[in-house]
Amino acid sequence: MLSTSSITRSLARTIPRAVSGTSRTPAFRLFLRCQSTSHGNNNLNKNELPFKFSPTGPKLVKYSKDHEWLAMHADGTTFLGITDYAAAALGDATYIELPEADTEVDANDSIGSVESVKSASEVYVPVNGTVVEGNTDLESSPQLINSDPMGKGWIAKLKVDEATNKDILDKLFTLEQYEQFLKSDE
Amino acid sequence: MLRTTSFVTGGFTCVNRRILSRVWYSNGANDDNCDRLKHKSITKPVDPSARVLRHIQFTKRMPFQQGLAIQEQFVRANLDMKKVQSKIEQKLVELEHEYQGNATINSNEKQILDKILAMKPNPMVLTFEYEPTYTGGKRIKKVITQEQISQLENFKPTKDIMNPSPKFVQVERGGELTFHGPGQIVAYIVLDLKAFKNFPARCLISVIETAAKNTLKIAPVRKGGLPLNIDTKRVGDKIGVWVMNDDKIASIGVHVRRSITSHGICINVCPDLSYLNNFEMCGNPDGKATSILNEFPNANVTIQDISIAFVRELAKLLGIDTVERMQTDGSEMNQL
Repeated sequence: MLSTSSITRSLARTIPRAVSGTSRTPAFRLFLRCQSTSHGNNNLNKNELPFKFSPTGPKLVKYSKDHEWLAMHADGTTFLGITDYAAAALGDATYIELPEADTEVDANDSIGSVESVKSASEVYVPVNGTVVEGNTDLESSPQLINSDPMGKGWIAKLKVDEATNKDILDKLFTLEQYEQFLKSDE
Repeated sequence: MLRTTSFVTGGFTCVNRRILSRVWYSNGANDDNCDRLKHKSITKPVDPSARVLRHIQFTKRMPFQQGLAIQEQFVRANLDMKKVQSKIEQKLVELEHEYQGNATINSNEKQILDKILAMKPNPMVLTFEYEPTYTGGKRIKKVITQEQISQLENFKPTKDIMNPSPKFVQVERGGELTFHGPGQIVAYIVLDLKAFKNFPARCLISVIETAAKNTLKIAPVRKGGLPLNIDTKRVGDKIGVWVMNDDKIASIGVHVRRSITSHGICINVCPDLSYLNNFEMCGNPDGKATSILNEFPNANVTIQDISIAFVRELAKLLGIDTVERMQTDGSEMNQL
């Protein structure tokens, strides 16, 4: 996670002042540009569609190095989104580029993008499959990516065959492994 | 210092015309013109490859598509390196698991791996001056009509009437419609966000904004002259650089693929402002554009002066001490 000192360092603007050592005043936190709005929870939201699609929840939940999550259900229906960590790093989403319905996708293709503060970040699909539809709620409410990235802010619904993607799925992270990866990535 | 060396980036070799200067900067305190503005760095390199910032200055005006293709080559080199790094990491992890922590790689293997990882491209700024081009960001893709495109491509400017007709090009950066053309610097920043400490995309945007603001403040009016001293501000929540009366002087838009950035900023030095003021730019219906020349009619600054100043400010904010600059007219980039 972004540390306090790095946030305040990032918030320093070109204000004429004496060069101090490493101490920063909390006043710089007023600058919102680099402020983190993370919920600190990369778990799937049990109250929303990506989880509730099956009565007992998804068969498999996996995470990628590029901070995407996959919730795979027994019939192959798979929801994809970006993690809480990624959403916080991006900042307030202003525009989401969604995939077209009925398009085949290969693993590591770009499936859309999330724009925030004039930077458009690609979202990748870690598996092979077919896009059923993008989450059109994001067209009118891109902020769902920030308020509920692990639930209402899902980006795409796909049809994924578990057997043909077995090798890929095995290499993706579990939640534990993803959280471990986040720690080592800092 | 004139020296010819070659550097290999990803899949192609480029022979430097000249490395004009390898400049070392202390971070703030001793620089000229820096007394009033102590620029503390916002981040710092955490990967050895990020300790040098490369500035490739394209001195000849060129079509937009050509600059885009050049940028894409460098981005590809970065993405390919990421893939290689990822494969190496994965293999090492697999070895760990297979041999239960008793795996070691011998010194030869380690040398090879180190050499491969040392090929990671340095962070880079490419600065261009383009022929008249209107570009649309991702947001424009689904909404712009053929009629609107025709309007843009048929536009006749009021001042620089000898320019070729504008072209419209759709690109993958964030943001909406903007204009690039003669008299304007377009700077592309291609780097790996992960090579810097705690540096998500929105911090890069902040750094680009601040570097532009600093440049407009302290770049000299003419060689050896006083600073431009152009004061700038942000307008509400919007990203970009405006002068104090709300006219826009620089526009920002960035693309991120697996932490590799592309696109960046365009700064108006002396373009024909009619290109910008006759259409709605950047999604701002009431916005008006300005330029350095418009703000300071006696200024004698060139695109190249401002490019160099901007890269210098950017390096400081990124915590990078060394900038390697290379000038080229772009002709040697066409080998691939």
